[in-house]
Amino acid sequence: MDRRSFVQGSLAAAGVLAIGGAATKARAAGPIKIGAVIDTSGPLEVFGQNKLRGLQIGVDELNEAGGLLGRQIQLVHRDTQSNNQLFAQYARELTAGERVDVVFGATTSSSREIVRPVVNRAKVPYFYNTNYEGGVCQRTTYCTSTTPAQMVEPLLPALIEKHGKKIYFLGADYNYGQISAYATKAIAKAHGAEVIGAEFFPLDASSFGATINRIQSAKPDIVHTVFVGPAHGSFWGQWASAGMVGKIPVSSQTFGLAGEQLRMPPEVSEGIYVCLNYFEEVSTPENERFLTRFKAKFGSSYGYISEASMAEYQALKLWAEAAKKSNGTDADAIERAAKAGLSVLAPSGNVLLDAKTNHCILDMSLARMSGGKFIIEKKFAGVRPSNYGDQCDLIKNPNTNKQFEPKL
Amino acid sequence: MLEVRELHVGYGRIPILNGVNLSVVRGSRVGILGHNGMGKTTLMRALMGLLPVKSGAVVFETATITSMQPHHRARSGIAYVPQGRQIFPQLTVRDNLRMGALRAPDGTMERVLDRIPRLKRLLDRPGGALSGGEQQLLAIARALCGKPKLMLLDEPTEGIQPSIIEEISELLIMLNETESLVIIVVEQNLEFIAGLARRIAVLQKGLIVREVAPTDLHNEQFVEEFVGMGT
Amino acid sequence: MALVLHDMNGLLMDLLAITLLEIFYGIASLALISLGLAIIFGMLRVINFAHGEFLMIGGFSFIMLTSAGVNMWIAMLIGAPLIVGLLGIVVERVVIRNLYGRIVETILATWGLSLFLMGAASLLFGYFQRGVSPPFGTLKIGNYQEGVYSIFVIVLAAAVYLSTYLVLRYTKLGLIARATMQNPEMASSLGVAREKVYAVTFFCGAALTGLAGAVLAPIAGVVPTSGLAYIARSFITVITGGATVIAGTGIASVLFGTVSQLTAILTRPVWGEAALLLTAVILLRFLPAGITGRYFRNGL
Repeated sequence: MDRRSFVQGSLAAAGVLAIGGAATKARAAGPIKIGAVIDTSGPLEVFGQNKLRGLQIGVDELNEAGGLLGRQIQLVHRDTQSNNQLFAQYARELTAGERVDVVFGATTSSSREIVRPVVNRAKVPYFYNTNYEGGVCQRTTYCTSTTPAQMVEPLLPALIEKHGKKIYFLGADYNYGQISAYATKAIAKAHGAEVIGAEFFPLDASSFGATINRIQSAKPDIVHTVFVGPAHGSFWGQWASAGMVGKIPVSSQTFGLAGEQLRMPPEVSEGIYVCLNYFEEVSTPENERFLTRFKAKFGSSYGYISEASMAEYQALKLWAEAAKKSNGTDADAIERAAKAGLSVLAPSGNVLLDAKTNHCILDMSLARMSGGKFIIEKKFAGVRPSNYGDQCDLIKNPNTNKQFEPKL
Repeated sequence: MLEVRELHVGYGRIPILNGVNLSVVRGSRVGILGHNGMGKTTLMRALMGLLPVKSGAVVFETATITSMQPHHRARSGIAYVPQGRQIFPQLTVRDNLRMGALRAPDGTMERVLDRIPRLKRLLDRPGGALSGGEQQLLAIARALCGKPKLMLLDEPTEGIQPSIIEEISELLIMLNETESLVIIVVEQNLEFIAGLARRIAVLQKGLIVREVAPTDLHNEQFVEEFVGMGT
Repeated sequence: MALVLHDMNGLLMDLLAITLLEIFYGIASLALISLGLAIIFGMLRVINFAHGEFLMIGGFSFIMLTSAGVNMWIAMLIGAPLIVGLLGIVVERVVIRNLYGRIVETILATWGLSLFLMGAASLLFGYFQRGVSPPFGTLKIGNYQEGVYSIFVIVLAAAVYLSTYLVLRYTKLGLIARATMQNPEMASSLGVAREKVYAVTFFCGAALTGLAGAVLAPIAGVVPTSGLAYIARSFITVITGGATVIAGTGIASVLFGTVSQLTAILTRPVWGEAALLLTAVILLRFLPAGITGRYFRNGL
């Protein structure tokens, strides 16, 4: 097969999806349309597949309950193919062509920053539902998943108390890793602990031997990691091969988001600590209902529903709640409801929108890998999102439009 | 033994051979005389199967080989000593010969070396380090290792010292007479071809325009005419 | 005092030993992931952009065979190479055969192939195949601990290079391969079936790639996008090495492995990768045909 026919093939496949979406389109004043720019092919499909499924479950639920504001909901999905170039195009198509009422999606921060201005300009509410470095501050953009502080603030004190005060930080060498390192240092300091080493890795680094040797000689009590992408996956194998599993406890801000615990041998993943808003193992009645529904619709070979996919579902619930409260779906209506105080009871617990930052106050769970599964050890209610230097205040300054960063 | 009928060959849309006819019988030594650009190399490459034929036919012994691949031609007994010798430069002389003897019975290489003893002391040298004359001998030796019935040689005297030209000529005549190896050689060296060939065809603008006898090459009038054809 | 000095020496020796081990491991893993690409590039002048995906499929073959109950070593050393080798034969036949000598077309075709294989792997294997953990125990060097598996990878890489060298240098197959690489037309005039040589070469290159993918799978884990993690480094190694398969890729691996590991050990990991790239840029500036384009040209 040559490249051209391959590309044509994949474009055709994408076309089928798009036409499939358009074919169910009803006539004017018909359904409320939800636009989704989610990668269901390419390297990021590992997140995208279940993100889309989360939205589909949410839409089904709303429609079965009679729709929203008396109208049916229709999901219009564009497969962005893990290709940043497609995000702008599809975001425009959804807002200008399909005239959707709201846009969900984007996984990486770089793709979010392509979608966000397009959707903002079209005056359509935008929900970004992936854990990220934090700091986005704009009145019609809602970042519903976790920020570094929410992971680290509950996690580190628990580990410091249990294992000791010397922390070694390993992270990806871009803003998520750098900002997480900043959060780690700040929280360590607040709890009388110390970050005794911090190393950053380019995304294609796959050789961790030297780092592991340095850790062996520095003898920290905890190794806290923020790895991103397939190359960094090598860390776990090298750590295990060097016999370090069980010697020094390791925590991670990213492990499990792409179902890592399913593909990693239990001997390798044993003991990894993770603190996330959602695990499939969370035991709430809402989660049980959700999982039953999900498995009924998609079978059981879907991999794992991580926080990354659950966030889409929770965001949809949050948006629907806002629309109900204001009796409208335009950007103003959603903003009005958000400012008035918005919360839903979701599978992960209580999801409360913070009107000041348009981020969510979330319940967090601390889990530890054991025998290849997450075992939830502790729960933390109402953990606040990062707001660097308290700079974002959409109540006081509603016209802010930027992404704040901590002073590193 | 070899019949070439109305052979048309070209590069892309540029025709080079425009209907070559040639008939070679068992035991013969044929010289094809022609200047640069007349199609000598094209003819040799087409006979070896390295260039596709547009139309016409090539029959070797009893088989039509017009579109046969080079390695099948080699295996059926045609050997090629190309222009520029095409020695494998990074292989030793021995490995160059082993490449020629891939399908030959054991001892073939030794027998060939007995015919061309000059190569014996060079066996471990890389082919690329040999002089032009030595390389030419190696190219012929390599071709002989495949025990061919027909040998195609493309300008074997090009850039080679006279003593080795003599040696090559003697060697080819001997192989032809003792082992009935059929030889087709394309050349523009009149003296060499006069000494070697028993039949001489003149190739001009992609056609065999006439045949001459080796003695004609000592005829001043012909020589003048031939030299004039190049211009 | 003497005792303390001795301890200091001991510590230094430990550090030296563990550092050397890291460097050797860096070289070995680079050499392993690059060899198959080098063979296909050096022998056939085909730039295989799907090389990373060949590594990924090698990894998956190993994992799937192991989870199907095949002995781990058989899966790694025989199963995965065989499967990827056969894939290589199919690819050569279907994609490459009509494109020899047309560099741009082969790049585009193999790039398409890489996307196709990634998609196929995500349908076939998905992202949730349980991996295999690194076998063997650990080796204690003073304060440090190193996986014995790292030593296995080093030994294996050396063995693979040595046997590839021996095959090329001393067997009839190797002779035919070298001759065909130097002058394919002349080789075919001597009775060599060129297409068969190309297919066999492609098989060998792909099989060695499959082996590398399987060997690194216990360390790196395997997902359909794993190829992306390898592709840049293996390309830099092969291009810098030049067209001479063993010497070029070997030397480039030693150079890059040492530079990037040493830099990573002495400074920070970020600089390790940067040093690798910088070395490559400088080398290619002065030796545009690769290291073996100028030196060791008559090597293998």
